[in-house]
Amino acid sequence: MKIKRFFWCYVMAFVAILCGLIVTIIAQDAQDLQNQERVLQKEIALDAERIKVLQAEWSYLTRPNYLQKIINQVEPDAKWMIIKGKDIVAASDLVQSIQSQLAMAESTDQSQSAEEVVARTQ
Amino acid sequence: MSYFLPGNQQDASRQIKARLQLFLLAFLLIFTCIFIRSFQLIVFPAENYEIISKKSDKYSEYSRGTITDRNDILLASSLKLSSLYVDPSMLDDDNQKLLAQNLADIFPDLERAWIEKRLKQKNRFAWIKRHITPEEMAKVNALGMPALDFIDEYERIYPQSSSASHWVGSVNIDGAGIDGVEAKFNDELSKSNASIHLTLDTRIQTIVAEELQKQIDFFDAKGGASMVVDVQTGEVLAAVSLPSFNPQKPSDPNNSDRFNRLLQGSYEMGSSFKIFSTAALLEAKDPPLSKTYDATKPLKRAGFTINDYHAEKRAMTIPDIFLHSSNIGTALMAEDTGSKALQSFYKKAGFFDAVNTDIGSTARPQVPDPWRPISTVTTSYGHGIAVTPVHVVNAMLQILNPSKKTSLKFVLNKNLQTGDKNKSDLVSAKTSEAIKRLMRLAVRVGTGRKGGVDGYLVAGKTATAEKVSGSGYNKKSLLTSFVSFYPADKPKTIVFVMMDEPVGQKESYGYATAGWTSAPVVANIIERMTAVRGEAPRNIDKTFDPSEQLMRYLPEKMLQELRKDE
Repeated sequence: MKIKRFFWCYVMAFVAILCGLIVTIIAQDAQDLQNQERVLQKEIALDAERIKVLQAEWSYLTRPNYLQKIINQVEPDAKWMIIKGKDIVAASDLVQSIQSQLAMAESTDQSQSAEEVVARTQ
Repeated sequence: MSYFLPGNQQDASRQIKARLQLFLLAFLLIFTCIFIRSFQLIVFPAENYEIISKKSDKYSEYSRGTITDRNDILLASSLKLSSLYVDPSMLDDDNQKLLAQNLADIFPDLERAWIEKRLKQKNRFAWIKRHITPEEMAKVNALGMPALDFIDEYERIYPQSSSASHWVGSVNIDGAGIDGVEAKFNDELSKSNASIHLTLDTRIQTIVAEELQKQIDFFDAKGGASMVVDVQTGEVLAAVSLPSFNPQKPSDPNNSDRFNRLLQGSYEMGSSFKIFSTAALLEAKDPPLSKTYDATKPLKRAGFTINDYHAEKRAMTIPDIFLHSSNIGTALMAEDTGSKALQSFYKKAGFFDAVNTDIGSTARPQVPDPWRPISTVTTSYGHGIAVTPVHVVNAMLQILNPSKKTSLKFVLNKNLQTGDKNKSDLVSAKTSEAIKRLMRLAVRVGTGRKGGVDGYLVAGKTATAEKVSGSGYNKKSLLTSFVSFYPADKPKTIVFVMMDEPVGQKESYGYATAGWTSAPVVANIIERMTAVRGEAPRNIDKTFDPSEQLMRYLPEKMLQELRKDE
């Protein structure tokens, strides 16, 4: 009789205790996550700073005129290394050239491999 | 005393029961919600991390944003550097001497006596050295002195040094931008993680600066400027003003090296204006290119005598006038155009106002006021009107892109492109085509021959102007320029070069004209830049050359000489 009368009170007490327990676990987890976040934030900040330093160093050490200066120091007669537009070949011209070489190879020497033709064209 | 309101006891008991049930229901509802949410948080923890990650963006809050070129090469960045200070109250006399000696060993550039003086100060704070290296920091830490400590400070660094200094700008001691992009986008750069991407290409910028500096040194010029612009997009690939400055080194803001000739310099550009006055005539009157103008003798107008540099002393067609850069012929063409039509064209081309680019406005042009009949004559060949080089390049862009609204862009970030939008109706497609051919002719057989590069169909116009000195013009003080583009049949890139006061050399037979000074720089830039851009030369038959159709307008004597040369 007594149990029946206080049934809802027991249910409520049980739910309250369960909720309290879960909330405590979640609070603990949240605390842990916050601590982890702080550590990660510090690591991110350090990494971001390191990346920035590396980017700045890369940009500084790859200045085109600086690279040219180094090349001139290592190889003083390397003026030919300044590439000009006339030194490059259009991709379409290259393909055309390879095709004509291949066609010529086929008609003259059947045994010549395609690799050899490409190497010769290069 | 009764706790119940008047009425019978049964009613009161029922009322209490009902209230209790309501309370229980509410209690149950609240705890059920808590339970469901708790369950959710445990089962789906990923949601948790999202909330945290949204809130956490703190690591860069003190750092200023970066400025990069179009290929993400860093032009400006803020780095965290440590600065060393001392708390002198924590030191006794013996410590001071020993510490001063140790610090002098670590920092050879600091004098021991100076350090000792700092260590003896009465207050609790004294700087020893700002912005030390990590290696120096490790050595100081190894001393194990509690009186020494560090403060982290952010330093603005410019890894590309003076390469694009006029555009990137610099910051003051408080880290606020004082000029260039640093000042224009100060608010944006102050925000964490901001990044401004410029349209400049550091590789092309370096080529342009090198070639221009070489020529400035050779012709002993005061300075120079150059610009490379993509015709289709209006993006500025290189913009150089020499001499330049190192933004890393604090210098006087009034230092003349900080003067940006492209944006702030207003000059009487000379013959490059013949491009625009010729376009104005073609637009206003649409004459046949065979139309001749009498250039047999100097032209006298309002007490002035207009001469040609190399007088041909004959009647000349429009292409003939353009390629010989005849002042007399151009003046007569301008009179044919009419004062109103010429003014209207110049206004539409933007020569009467400052050009607003996305990184700032140009200097205001100096336009004749009031506009007299003589103004129509002189401005047709670029005298009596002063504009910035950006004005010329901007107008050229409009002529080469007749059907497209293209404006000069210095910034790649779409939301920051706030420059003036050019109108697309400056010239018709027909006029645009004629100007392209005329400019190609000027490089093929005219004054701009030294600006040509085999396989690239370079087109251009030379301009040699005497600079204003006192009340007149100084014949020895020249401003030469070459405005060009390539290829002439389908313009892709504009290249502009200007030199300030070049001096004739033995190798140039004493000449310091644009054909000798500015045009060769353009050729050298195109030769090298095309390799960077992957533009191979084309095998071009002369019949394919856009200027070929204009050859018939040239005098027979000249054609015979050209045939001999070929």
